[in-house]
Amino acid sequence: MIPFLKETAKSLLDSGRELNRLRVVLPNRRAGLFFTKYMGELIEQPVWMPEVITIEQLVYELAGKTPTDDLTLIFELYEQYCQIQKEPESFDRFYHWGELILKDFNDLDQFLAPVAQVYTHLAEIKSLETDLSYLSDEQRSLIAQFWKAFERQNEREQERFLRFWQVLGKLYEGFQARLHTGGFSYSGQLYRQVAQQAQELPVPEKEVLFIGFNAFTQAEEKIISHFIQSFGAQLIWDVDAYYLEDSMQEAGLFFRQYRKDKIFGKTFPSPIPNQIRNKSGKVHIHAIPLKTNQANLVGQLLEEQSVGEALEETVIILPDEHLLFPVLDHLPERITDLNVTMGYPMRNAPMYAFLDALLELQKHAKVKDEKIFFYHKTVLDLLAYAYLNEEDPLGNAEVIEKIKTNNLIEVPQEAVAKESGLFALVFQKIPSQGILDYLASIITFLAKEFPQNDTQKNYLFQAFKQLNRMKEIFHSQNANLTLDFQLNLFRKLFRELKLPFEGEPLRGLQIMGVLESRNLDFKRVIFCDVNEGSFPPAAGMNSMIPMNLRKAFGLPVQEQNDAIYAYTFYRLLHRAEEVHLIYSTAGEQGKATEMSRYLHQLRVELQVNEANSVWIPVQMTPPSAFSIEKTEAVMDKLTQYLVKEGEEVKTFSASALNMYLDCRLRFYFRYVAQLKEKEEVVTYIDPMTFGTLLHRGMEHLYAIPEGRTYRDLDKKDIEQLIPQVQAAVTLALREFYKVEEGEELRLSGQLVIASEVLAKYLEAILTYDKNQGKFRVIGLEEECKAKVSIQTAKGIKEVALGGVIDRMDIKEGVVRLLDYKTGKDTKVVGSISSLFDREDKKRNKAAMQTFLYAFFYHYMHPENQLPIKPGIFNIKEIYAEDFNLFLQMDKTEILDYRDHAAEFEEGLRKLIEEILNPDLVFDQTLDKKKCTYCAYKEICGR
Amino acid sequence: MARPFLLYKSSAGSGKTYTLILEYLKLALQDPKAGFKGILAVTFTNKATQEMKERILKELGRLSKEVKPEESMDQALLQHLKLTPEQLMERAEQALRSILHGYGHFSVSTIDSFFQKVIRSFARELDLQAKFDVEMDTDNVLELLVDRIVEKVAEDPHLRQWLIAYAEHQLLDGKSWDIRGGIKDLGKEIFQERFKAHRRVFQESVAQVGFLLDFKQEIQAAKNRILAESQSKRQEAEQIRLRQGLNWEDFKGGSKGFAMKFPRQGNPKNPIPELTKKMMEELHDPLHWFSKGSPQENQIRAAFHEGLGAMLAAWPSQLKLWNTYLALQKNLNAFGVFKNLILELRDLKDEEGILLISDVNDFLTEITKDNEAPFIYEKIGNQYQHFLIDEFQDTSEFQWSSFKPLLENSLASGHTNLLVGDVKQSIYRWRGGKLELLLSEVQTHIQDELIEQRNLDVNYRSLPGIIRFNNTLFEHLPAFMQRGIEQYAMDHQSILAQAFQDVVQRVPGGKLDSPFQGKIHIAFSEKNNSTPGAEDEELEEEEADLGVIEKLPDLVMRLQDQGYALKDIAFLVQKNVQGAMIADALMEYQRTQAQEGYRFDVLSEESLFIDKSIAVKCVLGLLTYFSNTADKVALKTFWQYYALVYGIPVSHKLFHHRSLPVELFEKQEELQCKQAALLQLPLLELVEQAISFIGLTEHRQDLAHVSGFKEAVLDFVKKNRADLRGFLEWWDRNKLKRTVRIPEDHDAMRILTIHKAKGLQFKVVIAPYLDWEIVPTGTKAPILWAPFATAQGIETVIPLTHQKSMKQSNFSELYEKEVRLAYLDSLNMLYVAFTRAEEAIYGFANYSIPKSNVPSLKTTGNVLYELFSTGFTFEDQPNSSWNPGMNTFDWGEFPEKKRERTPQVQLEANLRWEYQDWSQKLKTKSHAWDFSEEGLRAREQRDVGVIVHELLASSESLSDALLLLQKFTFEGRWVEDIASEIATQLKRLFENNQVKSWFDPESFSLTEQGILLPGGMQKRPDRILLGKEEAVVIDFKTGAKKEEHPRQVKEYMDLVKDLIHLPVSGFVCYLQPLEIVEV
Ligand code: SF4
Repeated sequence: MIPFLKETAKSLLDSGRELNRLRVVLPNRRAGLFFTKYMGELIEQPVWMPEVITIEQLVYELAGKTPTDDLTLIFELYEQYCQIQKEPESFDRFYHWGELILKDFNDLDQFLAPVAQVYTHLAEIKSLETDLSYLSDEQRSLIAQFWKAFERQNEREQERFLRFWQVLGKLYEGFQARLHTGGFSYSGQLYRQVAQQAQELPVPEKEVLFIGFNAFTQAEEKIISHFIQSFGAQLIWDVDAYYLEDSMQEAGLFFRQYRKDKIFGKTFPSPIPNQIRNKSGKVHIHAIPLKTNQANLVGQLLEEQSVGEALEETVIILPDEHLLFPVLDHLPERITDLNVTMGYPMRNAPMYAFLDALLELQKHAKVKDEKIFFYHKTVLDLLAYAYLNEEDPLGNAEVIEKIKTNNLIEVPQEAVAKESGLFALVFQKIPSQGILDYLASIITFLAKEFPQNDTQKNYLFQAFKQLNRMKEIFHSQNANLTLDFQLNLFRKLFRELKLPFEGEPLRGLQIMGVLESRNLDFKRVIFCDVNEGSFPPAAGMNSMIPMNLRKAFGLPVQEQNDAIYAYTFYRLLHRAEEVHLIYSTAGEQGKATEMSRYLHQLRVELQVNEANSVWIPVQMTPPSAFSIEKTEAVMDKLTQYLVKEGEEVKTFSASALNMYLDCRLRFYFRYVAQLKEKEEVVTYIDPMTFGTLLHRGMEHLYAIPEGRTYRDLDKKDIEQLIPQVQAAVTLALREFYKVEEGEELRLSGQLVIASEVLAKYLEAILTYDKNQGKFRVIGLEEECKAKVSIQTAKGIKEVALGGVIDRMDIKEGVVRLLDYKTGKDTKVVGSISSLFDREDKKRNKAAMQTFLYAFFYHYMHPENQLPIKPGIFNIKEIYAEDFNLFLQMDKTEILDYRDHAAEFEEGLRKLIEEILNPDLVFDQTLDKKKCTYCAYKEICGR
Repeated sequence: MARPFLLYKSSAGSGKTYTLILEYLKLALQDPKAGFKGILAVTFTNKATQEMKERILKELGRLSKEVKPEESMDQALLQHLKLTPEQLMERAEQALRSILHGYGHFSVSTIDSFFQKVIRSFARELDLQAKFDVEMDTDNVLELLVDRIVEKVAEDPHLRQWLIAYAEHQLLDGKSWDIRGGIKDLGKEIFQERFKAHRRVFQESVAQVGFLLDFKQEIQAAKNRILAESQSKRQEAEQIRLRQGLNWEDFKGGSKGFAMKFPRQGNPKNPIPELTKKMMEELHDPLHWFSKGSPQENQIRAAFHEGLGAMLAAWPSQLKLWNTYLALQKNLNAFGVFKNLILELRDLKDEEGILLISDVNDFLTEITKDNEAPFIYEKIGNQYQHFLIDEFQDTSEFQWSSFKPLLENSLASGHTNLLVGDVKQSIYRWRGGKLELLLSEVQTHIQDELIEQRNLDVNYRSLPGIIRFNNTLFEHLPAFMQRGIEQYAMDHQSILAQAFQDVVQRVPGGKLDSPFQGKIHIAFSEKNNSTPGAEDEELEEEEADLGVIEKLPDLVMRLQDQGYALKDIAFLVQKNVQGAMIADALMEYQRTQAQEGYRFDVLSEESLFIDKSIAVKCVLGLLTYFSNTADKVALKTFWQYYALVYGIPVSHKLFHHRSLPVELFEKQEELQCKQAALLQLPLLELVEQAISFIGLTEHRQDLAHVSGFKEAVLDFVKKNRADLRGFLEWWDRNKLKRTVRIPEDHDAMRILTIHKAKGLQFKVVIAPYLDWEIVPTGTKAPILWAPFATAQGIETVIPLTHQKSMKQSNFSELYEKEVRLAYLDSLNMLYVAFTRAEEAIYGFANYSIPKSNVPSLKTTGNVLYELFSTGFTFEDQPNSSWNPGMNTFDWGEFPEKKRERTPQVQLEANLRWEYQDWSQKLKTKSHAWDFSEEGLRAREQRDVGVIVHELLASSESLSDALLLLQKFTFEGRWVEDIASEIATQLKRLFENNQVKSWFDPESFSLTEQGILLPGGMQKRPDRILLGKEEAVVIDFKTGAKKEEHPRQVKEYMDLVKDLIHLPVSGFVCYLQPLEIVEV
């Protein structure tokens, strides 16, 4: 296969021209590189390199200017806009419109359209359309209720809206003048300028050749015609008869026009090459389910390639840049060199997320009493990134631990910042005007200090360049911009930013975007994503000028776009010897994807075979049930619960026993394997926290004075306590969130509700106590312990149990052991044995717990003669008029634990014996509902 | 003249697609070049869109090669277009090629995407950002909204008061105080048409300050009043009873009698006793108050007259009142924040620049309302003259009202339009589908003389036996369903009968005598008589399933024996979970006990969840661990699945927080080494490397699932900031939406919901779960929006939960309508399920034995059972095929084995799965001052020399260099003050005369142009000047002098000399400090 550019190079060499007096103009730089390369392959002795430039370079050179970067332009445009538009929107809202306007200006200029006229028409159309009088007032207000923007559609706003369209023409004029004074320019402007002054261009020193073009803008057409006519420039086309001669084929749209042109017409080759028509045998279509699977197929196709073949003769075309990494990931091993020519979205790089997180950190940073605080979430987010983690992994873990265990919502600077290094750089509070410098300094730091590969350095460099731009512009605009604004703009700009990959273009496997392939030919072409919407891309001209108007003034519309895309597609078929076209059959979940129109065309018009449909094997292994045997190591752990020489190492708690009864495996994970459930800073109130706050609140209210062992409370005491409930709740909250005295306690919305509810609940408890009459508190949140003797293989042993009893009091000669519950707990106990019956769906865990407390009390106070009554304040029932504190069995109150002690303790003993029985495994519960809130459900696959 | 508006009512299998395609072709072929541009065909799903497009292309392709006048389509076209076959062929080809090359105008689309396109043209008016997104994930939006509202509590005392009251109320009800769930549940309604249809009233009422609070109090007061009253009535009743010396048991019925209701009055939950219909009829007469011969007859009569009679007579009306308030109160708390939700939503949309998918219809409806000229459509350059709408029965009210002007406009100009649909297949009511449109309304909207209505009543899909079976089944089923409605103590208003009046289909002549007429097997099993909608719903489901699932492998094998390919078989389910159970069971069977020669592959877009694979779980475990390396549980999750993949036994060592089995030591070390590097990777890369780290690809483990997972990551990355934590959160919300994708032509059994099966057909249909609750209760009960006027006369609309007590309230009409429609929904679902089959139907259902004599017809299982077990037969088959012993209905015989099963060879996909680290292979280009090592050094030392060098090498003049400098600066490579420093240096350089001379515009120079050597090597001194008499070679250098510099220049000089044969001089120009050395 001889590539078009090589053929052209050869004809140039053969023509014997003075190469150093030659100027070759190509559509893009890459084509130039290949051109020179081919030339090198063709010569036998040293020659001068001809000058190879792009059409843009030529135009800019003729204009004596290069275009300013887009950001500056949009900012300038905005400034101009502000001068002529009353009450303009903010810059970040304007930004996208600015982009569009700028794009339109470019088009208008490139196509030498009469700007003022176009915009006058546009304004007229809009004023007709914007006349919302077709909506009744009622309709309008109705829409406005659901759509904020529509509210702005009142008359004044409407006027403003219309003004927007009316000012566009003026904006254009003003903008030109403004750029002129500022020394700025944009691309279209330069083209127009050159085209309009074509007649005055000096005769070029070198002979000019235009090679491989397809669609010219009006300005280009004019310039090139002039070059041909007046300077004898040559124009060389890369065309094929297949689309040129078929008047329906969109790929030939421009060529057919140019062929009729009196200047261009003569430049076409004769005969027109006819290469595509007999390609059908060489084209293979593949259908594959998922987009990512395409990468696997590409890998396979390359694998099949014969070993001796030069890599650079194969190209992979990726219309969607997201496929780049998957494709790279599955290249065969022996591909040693590769060259990627395409952009990759910045926002996919971890760098972007990191910068964004830095901005979030700054956004939520606060200064209180000259001390700096960061919001915990932003800190934790940042610490999760490799950069900080790498610098000091241990210290990092410590900080995280500290934040989580102390529930630090606001993290003080000294907890995270360090003397130097990245930590010092990151954890400072930056005033909003310094924010970009802050980011830039961190980027530079990372570039210098952080080990990383070229690709990552490239990310950093691109980010750095963009930041510099923003900085310059903001600086020159003298703008005092808020942080939010900068954050918004940062996101807008970076979201669109593509990282250019620029490799050694002439070596190795070629991977490129669609447009980058212009003018190049490869022996083997692998084209991915040949789906409608991807290639050709979804239709949609981004323009503020409606289609009919565009058409009327000769601006390109969809038809032209279609033609350009079709040409890039068919051109790759010209010389290729093996073409693979891959499309996916299933797109994003739920959406069907359609194969590209080109595939239909190939099938109908070139008789290419039906797609070969690739499928993926669907075998799947689900998680299976498993259990853990009580091996020696496990038994070692378990025997820690045994009392040794009167000392206990570990104690069974009520929740451990309940957990065991719920699911043996869960108990194992928690207490034997000791996998801690993960901790988080809670800003919202989960049920656990709610319970904790409740307990603390009650403890504050009924606290036994220092040095005393009990506190008597009667109706009057409690009446005095009721007004203090709110304060007790607040205190509990302050403790929980480590808010120091004097500091303000700020509650989230959910906390506000929770704290009110909590206060209500506390009040209800107090009211109940008050109505019941006086009692004596003998213990609050008291740690209790007890022992049980059990039978083991090694004889009788003692096991320790323990727990904290919420409240113990004595009332009318009865010892009450009370628990506060905030869940759905009830007080109905089926039977004592039901407390130990894991099959019982209504097993009362709360009752189990209070019974255990009763047991503790009983155990610790053998001298006690009073009845022991377990009871529960449960939120679910406390508001009922007939609230009763005590547990119920068979619809009657349980009056004294001691009546049931024997049975309960027997159950307990059996339970513990079972836990310690080496023959019984820890297995998964059969009731999958229990897994819903289990921390280990991922392990179990439930 | 032909009537332009074609309204086709198409029963199942009646060639609806054929009709649509034919109409399309008729229109398109009229003007083969541009005709298609004027047609918009609207389909129900994206998939249907694609299929229709393909079908059109295929038909055109066929016609352009060959026209067969005997084929019905060809015939119809020839006649309609009045063409010869040759002409038709030619036109077809022209049309085909016009479409292929004007593909953008080939408009087959769903309503949604068409409307979205329209909406886009309003972007500026709506002040939507130029690149606004259409947000599909309303759940996510709602979640955000609710959180935002709760956050506002701190500032908004009104809201605070309301929400706290709400939370307390929840507590009183024994529910969680966290009200977000409740708000979310009801909040979904704000996106629904059924609410939006009322929003005018809604807005007006909530606009009045304090309206809802007043209303809430009003209700509470009224309830209190009724309660108090009933309590005093209870006392009064007791007094009467005592005065008469009676016990309540003395009345008729004794301890189970109606009189026991008197002392139950005033119960706070149910203060007013409910009377049965019979009681109401009898008890106004004291005669029925006592048993015959009761000794207390007189006392009872006296008690009746003393007030008990009147008291009882008042109950129904009071109950009605009570129930009315109860219904109103039910959702009031959550409803109270509706206004906030809506306002917040407005803000959110505004801030984020998003448009909700549900807004689209909404907005268009408003804007097209009462507007004759649908000129808004002109904004998109509407070029359509013909509209063809499929599945019209599922169109919503809003959609129709937006579409209507377009249609009317087209009709007014006499253009042909077509609506196709079938009320019997309307199963999308829950999404807003309004079958009444097709049933009757359209005919009233469009002028009669324009309408041409046709019934497509030949079934081309199924074998005669199946057609006849369905004919009979669906002739009778409505009546049974109606009896079910009557069990709700209401009349059925014959809506079912109306919808099904045309149900009988004809058998096409050709099939009548085929030897195989079809196979039908319906089996019932009895379930425990537990009430549906009880708490343990899920559990019940699972239990109920066991029986059926076990039968499936056998059935599948028999079908394979019969010669059916797997892709001929489809399982229809009602819910995705059921599908997932079937998929799991069949795959499990395939794995563990499949017999040689049988296959059990399944394909499902809804049931093969990616998340179930251990491979995926392993990757996720690792990723979760990476997102928080302190998370031991995640780490162990990872190891557990890793062990599972490699067959390493799980053990205590594996789980204990500080140990690991020896087999894993090496991997653990590897993990520790790689961890840091992995964390720096972009998400996609991270996932790929994680997969490779685990070795899933080498191990060929669950590849379809792993691919599916990667695809999910890709989808996420495309739309979101690609960080790991964000992804994991997203995954958690979306994992149940992601299933494995397999190409359609893969030979596997389909599993799909009845909803998704609409429009499809299969040789064999297996419906294992034909039993469901017809009127949903509990959490599944729908919300009904009820217009209501408060005591103050404020008109508003209140969300009610459909529940039994509504029956006896002021909302009974609403209640009954919903019951009727729910029955119709179920009937339609059954219709769709039964009519999918071409050759064989297998149906399984549970039923329950009634406690009383009357069988409960509240589940489809029972309705079907009742129908089949009471002597169902169909045409030509006088002998009932019901087998009471087996509880089965069986009909038809398969023919002798059609063919030997050819066990299909499974193709191993030829794909490369292995991961390859490419980062070292990719070389990136460097520039002065980039972030390469040299670049950074230069930057650090502010070494602008390298920049100057880079600039000079590509410039023709000082101004060139300055231009280039500007360009680089614009790129942001350095800041302006560096740029001005460079500029100064440059200018200073040009003050040197020699340097200046090198850039003399008069002399001919070569920039970026060197000498090309054979083979492609290039030699490029920074500057070459070619004069008439001599040539000059200049090379610029930064940094210290080196010996090789002059040597290099010498080399250049030699080359130049060879090329031009003139004397050549050469210079090395050191830039810092400036020093020129002649060579
Ligand atoms: S997920 Fe279920 S089975 Fe596994 S440990 Fe938790 S509760 Fe037990």
